[in-house]
Amino acid sequence: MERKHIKSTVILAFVTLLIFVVSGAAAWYSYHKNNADKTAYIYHGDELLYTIDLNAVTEPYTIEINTEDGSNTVEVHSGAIGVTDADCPDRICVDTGFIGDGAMPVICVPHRLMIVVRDRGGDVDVQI
Amino acid sequence: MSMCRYEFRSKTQRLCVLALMTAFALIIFTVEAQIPLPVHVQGLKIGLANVITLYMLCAFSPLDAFAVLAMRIILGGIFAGQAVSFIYSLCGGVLAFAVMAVFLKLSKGRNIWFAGVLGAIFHNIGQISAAVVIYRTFYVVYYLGVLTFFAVITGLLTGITAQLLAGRKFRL
Repeated sequence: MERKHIKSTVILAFVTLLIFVVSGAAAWYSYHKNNADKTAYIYHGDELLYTIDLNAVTEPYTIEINTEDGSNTVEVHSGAIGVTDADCPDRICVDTGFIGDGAMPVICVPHRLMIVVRDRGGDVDVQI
Repeated sequence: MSMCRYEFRSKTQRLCVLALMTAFALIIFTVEAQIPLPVHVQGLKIGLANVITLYMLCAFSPLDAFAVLAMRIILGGIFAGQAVSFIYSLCGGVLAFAVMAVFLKLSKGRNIWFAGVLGAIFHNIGQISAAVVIYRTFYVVYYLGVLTFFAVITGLLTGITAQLLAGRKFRL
């Protein structure tokens, strides 16, 4: 009985370790995925607001996004995009910083805002 | 078996214990929201209030545990005052609860620490599912990797805490 208990604990410990390693690798991929044709898509909920070719940007500019949920200031640079100011309570969207490479979107949960950068040209666009 | 189970002797006692546990969970929930995290990832939190849910599942019945969880989510939502966070909290909380309850049933109350890990992981899966519905896109699924990575750490923390707590004998 006691032996069986220890065995199950060891198995579960290995399962935990496996999940840890696999998710770590998945996280690494999400942050380091290479985007050649960087195109940013800005969504409010399921509505597409802007489509921006980031490689074509020469001078950085800002976009003010005002919706019924609140306002976010989006800064567009050559090859990168990010939220620089927001009147949401947690401001995690600002802390996320700029994205260019990687698959992780910038999300402002309280304002239902999402910015995605992906490869427009390639067929490698991974959408599960 | 090192786990201690309790039976309520009266309706009044049940009411008092559930109210006390809800208060504990709410305090932990509120205090945790004030703790700054070293990493800023959307949806990431320690989930310390899950210690109470896990302990309730071990020491009392799943129904009592669910009552405390539901009250904590509803009252916590009112305190935080954000409708959107409430939806995420609800989806994550209910899914995590179901998975933890099934695991503890199957393991006969052993390896509580692993129920903590499962709870943390499935809390994220529930939240991301809610985000998929809200944004109607699968891009948010990319958050699953990093959130699961941190869920293993926070889940071990809450799971081991709950396991130590469940081994203690309290006077009811």
